[in-house]
Amino acid sequence: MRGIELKNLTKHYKDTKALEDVTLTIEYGKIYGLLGRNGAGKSTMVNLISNRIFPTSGEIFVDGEMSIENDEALRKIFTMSEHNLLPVDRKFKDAVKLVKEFYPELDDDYAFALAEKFELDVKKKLMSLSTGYSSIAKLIIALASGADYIFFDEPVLGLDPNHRELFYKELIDRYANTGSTFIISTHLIDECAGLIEKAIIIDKGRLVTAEDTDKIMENSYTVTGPAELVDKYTAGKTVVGSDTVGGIKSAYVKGKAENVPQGLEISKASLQSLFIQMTND
Amino acid sequence: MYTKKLLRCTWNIKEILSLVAVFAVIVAIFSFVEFQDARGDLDDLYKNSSTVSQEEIDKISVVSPVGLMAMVAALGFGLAFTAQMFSLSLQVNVTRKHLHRATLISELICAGLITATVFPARMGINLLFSKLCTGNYAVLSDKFRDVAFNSALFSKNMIVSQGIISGILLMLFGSLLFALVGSLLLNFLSRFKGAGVVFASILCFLSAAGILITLIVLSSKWISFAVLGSLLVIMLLVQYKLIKTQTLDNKSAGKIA
Amino acid sequence: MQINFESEKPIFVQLADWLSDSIISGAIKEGEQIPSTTEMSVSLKINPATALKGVNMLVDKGIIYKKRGLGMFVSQGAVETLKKQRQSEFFGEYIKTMLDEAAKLGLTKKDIIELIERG
Repeated sequence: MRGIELKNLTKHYKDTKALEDVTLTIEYGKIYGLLGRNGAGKSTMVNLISNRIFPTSGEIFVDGEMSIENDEALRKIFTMSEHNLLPVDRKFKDAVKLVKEFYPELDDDYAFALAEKFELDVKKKLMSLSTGYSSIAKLIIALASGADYIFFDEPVLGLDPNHRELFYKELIDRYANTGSTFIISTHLIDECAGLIEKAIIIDKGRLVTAEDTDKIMENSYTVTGPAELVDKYTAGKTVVGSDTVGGIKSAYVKGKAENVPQGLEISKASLQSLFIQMTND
Repeated sequence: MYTKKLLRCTWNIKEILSLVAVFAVIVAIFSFVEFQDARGDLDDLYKNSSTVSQEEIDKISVVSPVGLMAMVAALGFGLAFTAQMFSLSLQVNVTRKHLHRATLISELICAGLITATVFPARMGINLLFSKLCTGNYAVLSDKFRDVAFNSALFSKNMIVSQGIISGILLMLFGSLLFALVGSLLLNFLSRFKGAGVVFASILCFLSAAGILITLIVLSSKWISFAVLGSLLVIMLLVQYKLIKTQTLDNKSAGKIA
Repeated sequence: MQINFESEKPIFVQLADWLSDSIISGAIKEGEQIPSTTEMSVSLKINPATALKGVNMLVDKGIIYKKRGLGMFVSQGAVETLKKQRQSEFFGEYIKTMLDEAAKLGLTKKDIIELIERG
């Protein structure tokens, strides 16, 4: 089976449990959202999968092969991280060539075409690029890398709204053309809610859910109304979280809304608000 | 294959040439300063007598840290390269096995470059200066001794060829030691931290300098050689072991799959 | 078109509705090709799988048909089918909601008819 499998993956640092017993499968050919609050363990997970750090325990399989210290498996993974890890004294066009040495599938024509769309000066050295363009340079290389599993760690950090829009659109286009797997780790859930087919939500190092976003949305709703009425209605149901303003309460409920009494309003919760409820303390 | 690629992507002609140039400048500056120091003494010596014995020349102490300075500076560059290679290996998902190998080779290149640049450069400058100052190359042999770490490491009556050979050997060994300490520390740290490259480089740099300074303080030829030698052997063994375990890991990974 | 991510309606239904609207209004005529799923997903910033789901909804109803290797086209008679379907949905979606709201506001049947005639 094609995909990345994590089995009981655990990573402990001296006294923090960055990731705790995570078991999940990332299926090939889908767009994933890796969602979690600051310090939830998103980057730890990405770094473990790309062999940048080693797990305390647990296993990682890429297309059925154990990936730790396995060159062949690692060739299928490309990770765009928050920090630039490419030599900063190289020009963008040279950086592309450099990465192509290791990822022969990298499409340099596509990379340069994208650079033009983003108006990135390919002759500029990486270190002289602004924060936004430095992100763009990394994004372009990741999109063009030709790897089967492409991870983006906070991809749109420092990008202006126009460039963000362009990035999401190019990502969909690339996805439609290559069929690769894209995993976007982000805080800006609203922005990419329509994009992601599956969401992996982690909180405090533990997996909360890894499911189709459609399913997550279908199986939850918000019920709003006078607090006592809401409480009466939600009694015995799984309430993920709630907000109260004055006497009006909104509860996020799992399942499907049935037999809603007069005076209560049912609405769909956005992925972002569900996420907030799922990962609230 | 990836070892070679890592090396090729980090070391290119431009980088090598600029390194050589930097080494040469460092050597020239320090040699000149050192020479200015000794010059007064030499002038006095030659003013007073027309024939100068080797013993009298020996009295002029030119114990300067030139060789050491050049090495430390050069290895700083070497470590910078290693750090760059390290972070590149993270970006392009190259295994630790290849990183280990590439780091080791990279540090060896650096050690070789230092020996190849610093030693002849310093020899040439000494030759030139002693000829200019004294009219002959007599003081040459004395200067060879401190090319390496410290004249204290050598016998005062070592002949010129011995001086050259032991100088080159010490330079190579010293650099290799730096190389191993550097690559080991980097790799050790890389198991824990993804972005601690700068931190790791500083640590490597300091520990390698520490080892060298200890050696100089020890000041006895045989003890120094013994310490240096055993350190080298230990480091090589650890390095070998590291590479081997990770290769084995790799093989077992393949088996399970 | 804009997708409303907070709407009750799933994204693929919104897309299918939008396509239906375009067909009823004649923006896309019968026999004409509809935009590819990639094009639609890129411009709407939605997952291509979601776009495909929306299109397939209309394929199942016979409003759109696939021509292998060429793309997707609006079937003959699609406008008629859509109109019939919309008519049957009209009561549930508009009349019932209107009556519920009217009851909340205390409007009588007479009031409503008057309002309709005024409009």
